[in-house]
Amino acid sequence: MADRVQEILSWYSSDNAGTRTNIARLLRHGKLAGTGKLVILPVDQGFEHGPARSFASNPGGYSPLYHFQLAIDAGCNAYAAPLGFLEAGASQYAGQIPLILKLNNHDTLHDEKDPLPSVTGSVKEAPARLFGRRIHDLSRVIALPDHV
Amino acid sequence: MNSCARLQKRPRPPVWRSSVWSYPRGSVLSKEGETAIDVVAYAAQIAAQLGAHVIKVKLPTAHLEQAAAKKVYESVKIPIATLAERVKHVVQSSFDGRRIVIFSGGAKSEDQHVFEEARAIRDGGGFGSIIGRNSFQRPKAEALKFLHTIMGIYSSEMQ
Repeated sequence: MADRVQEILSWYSSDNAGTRTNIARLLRHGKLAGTGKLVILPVDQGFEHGPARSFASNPGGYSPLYHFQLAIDAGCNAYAAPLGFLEAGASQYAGQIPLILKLNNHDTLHDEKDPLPSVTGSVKEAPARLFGRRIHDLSRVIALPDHV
Repeated sequence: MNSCARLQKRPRPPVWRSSVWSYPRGSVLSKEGETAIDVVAYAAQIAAQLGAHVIKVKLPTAHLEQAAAKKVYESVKIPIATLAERVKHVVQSSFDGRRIVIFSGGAKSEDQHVFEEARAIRDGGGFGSIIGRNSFQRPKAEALKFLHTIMGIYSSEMQ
């Protein structure tokens, strides 16, 4: 099955080794490692829908650590969240699961007709906050801009 | 799209990989149009053209939103009747399958329904799911069982 990952990587031939390493890291992690398939846990609902709508039905979810552990125990390929949720567990769970930083978010406190999400993190600042300014650690973070 | 382009213009360290969550919405689209097959396929194409490495879209319905596109879907007879066919069309619209395309889970729903969707994603050549509310809005033991079933569907250990 490793060939499938190589095949997928071949479609990204204009990207450099670091970026391709990050794509491979996703594809080689968790229960689906090597299959070319992905199951990712995303938890941006606290920001997007509010805490009660998101977490009241299973209150463990109010804790940022809960979602890291859930993604790890389930064998997900990656865990995706806004900066706050990620930095609350990035150190404790360092290296245990690929992280995807969600760089923009839209809240529903102001639920407008034509939603315009805000940029809530930056690729410049996030690695320092998540991993303490060590450049080689950048390879653990994946930028994830939203498109609306 | 503006905010995505803006983010991409910011200096980014060369090893970063971008995923684009491509969800059309706003007053120009009907509610039904947000997940129409022509709109979702178009959104996937835009994400790919913006340089996304991984593209995330909602699962499309067979609804056709835009009149100009509708004509083509009907005259060329693009197969969009089943969910697996629509997944295949979205994957084709993402550089002929040469981009990783994953599909979002959406609001919490019946497990069997989510499993059915995973089978369609698999059979249509999609690359997987991103599943939030269906995962964490339930006790952890149930969440693990639920996610493992989906992973089994994708790895073809389960039908």
